[in-house]
Amino acid sequence: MVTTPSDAGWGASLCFVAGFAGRVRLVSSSRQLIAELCSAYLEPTDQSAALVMAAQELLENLAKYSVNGDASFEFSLAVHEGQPRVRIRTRNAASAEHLAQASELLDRIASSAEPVALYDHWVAASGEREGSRLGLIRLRAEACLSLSHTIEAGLLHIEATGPVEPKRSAS
Amino acid sequence: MSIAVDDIVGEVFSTSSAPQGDRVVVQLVGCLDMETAPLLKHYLSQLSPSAESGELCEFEFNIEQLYLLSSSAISCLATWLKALKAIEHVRRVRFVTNANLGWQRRSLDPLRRLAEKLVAVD
Repeated sequence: MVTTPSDAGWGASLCFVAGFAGRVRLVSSSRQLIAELCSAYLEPTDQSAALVMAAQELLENLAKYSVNGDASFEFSLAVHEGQPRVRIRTRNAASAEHLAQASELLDRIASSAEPVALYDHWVAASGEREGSRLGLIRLRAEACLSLSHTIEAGLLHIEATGPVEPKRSAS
Repeated sequence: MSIAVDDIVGEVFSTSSAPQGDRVVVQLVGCLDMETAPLLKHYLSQLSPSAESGELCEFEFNIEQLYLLSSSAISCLATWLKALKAIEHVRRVRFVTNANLGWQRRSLDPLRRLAEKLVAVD
């Protein structure tokens, strides 16, 4: 099937619902499937590689912070308002302490006018606190994705979106 | 001169160190994720005494066969570089990247900016 960026039927998605907590190998296997999907549907650009990185960071967060059973991870490529885009969504329960920290962190990242400068600032502070805090800021500073989040009934929902470059032809 | 470094030998991530006078060339191979980043941290901690004593002044990390660099590993490298910046006789930390993996240079950019006088990314 020949696809173009304006082909409304273009796209693919993967969704994992699993108990990710502490399961590093599950993170790795999921990332490899995402990489396969990107390889099949996107031009092999730095941006495509950055999406795999973004997926890895969000999956690692599920492994580190999710509690109480299943968490979900969804990676989709689709044409939205005529533009090919990626949307990555995660949903997980977490401790009240982590939900508060994550919300503050995500607010700061999403509202930053200079995400690269913020990333540099946090890289410079590495080793001064528990946890690197670098995973989510990489989504904005390195993968150039937009980030949003909500917290509902003890569940953290994160969404990252951005434009992508489809392969000229894909099957 | 000999430096005491135990290489990491793992299925997912490994290192291979070759001291050459006052420099060391290190191959980083595999994936650096939340599971293997602590191994990198341990590895780097072994290099620090030789840097502090003056036995090692240059470090070259060849990452041509590194296929993932997660934030945990970036944090480890940043912490190590911050300590290295304070050692006067350390001249250079060079990362050799894979030209076919353009993301490597992009991912190392914040480390280059962290220590611009010390870090080179080729």
